[in-house]
Amino acid sequence: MKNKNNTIFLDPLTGIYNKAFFLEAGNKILQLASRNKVPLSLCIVDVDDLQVINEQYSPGIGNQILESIAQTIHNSCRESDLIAYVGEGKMGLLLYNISGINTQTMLDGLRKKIEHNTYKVNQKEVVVTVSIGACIMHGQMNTQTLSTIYKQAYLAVNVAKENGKNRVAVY
Amino acid sequence: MSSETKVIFQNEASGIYTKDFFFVTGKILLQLAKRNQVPLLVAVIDIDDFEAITSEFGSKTGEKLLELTTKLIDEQCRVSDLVAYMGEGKIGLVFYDITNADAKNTLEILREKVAKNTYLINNEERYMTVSIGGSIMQSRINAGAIEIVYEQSCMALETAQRKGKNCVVVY
Repeated sequence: MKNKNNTIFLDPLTGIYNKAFFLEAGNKILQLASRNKVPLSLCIVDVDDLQVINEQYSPGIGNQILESIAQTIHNSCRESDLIAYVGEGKMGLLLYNISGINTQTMLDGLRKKIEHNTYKVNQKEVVVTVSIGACIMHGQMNTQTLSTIYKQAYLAVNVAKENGKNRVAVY
Repeated sequence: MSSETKVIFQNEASGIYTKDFFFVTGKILLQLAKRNQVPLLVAVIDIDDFEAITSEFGSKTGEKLLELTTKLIDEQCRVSDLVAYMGEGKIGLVFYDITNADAKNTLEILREKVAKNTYLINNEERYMTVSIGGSIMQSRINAGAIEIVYEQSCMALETAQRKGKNCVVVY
């Protein structure tokens, strides 16, 4: 993804798109979904206990884990999916024309994949999990902006966290 | 464009998206079109005799004319269409899911809109025209990158200019 012309769109830590590009390009995709009357899922993947990891090991280790998770997500998604680092240990995903059931299945698959990854830190194996929140929109969305839907996905992440973490919550 | 992010992705002179944004977002739209088996139209609009206008009336007038023309074109397009300034008086467009017949019609409407508009230059009403080249990526064909489709639309533009300008050619 990296080349000298598109670094303005990329997050320097994870190498995937940044939040600004996610919101701007995402609005275009939202308008497309509204015009074509297809479902659109906005998902937020939040690394569980990232602050604890940073304190226990170091922010450098935390960053490496974030980069690795970003790559796992990138490799698991389709080329047409929009994936970005949106800050504070969270990744945003925008999935065009995917049903609610398939979204749930896909996100659960992603959650398990990340859970089964292990990270070697100081010769110890560390398991990292994620909580995922998703907001699935159907029909006319032209009265919404991506920021509004983003907030709803964010609320879903909080529900996933409150229910024990390492799970998926969908609105 | 959303107010928070428009400055990052906006071309200052024209007020629309930058060339880099066009290619990065266009790539995603192309992947969406392939996956959803719909056609994608990439077009390039060139202000006829833009260099001559700038030489005769100065670069500030040229910039103003560019701004007005891009605004006119942007207003004719849907929110889901991608409109960007490509440099040297050229505007790039991406239309998702548009038939061959609609492609030519849509671009003709844009051409006519510009041709019928008058511009006040040195207290004199003047007309401007544009030449438009378009290339349709059909999903069933294994099309290459967005840059290749754009190049094809530039070739169509050259044909339009050779045909006498103020016309539309779609490959």
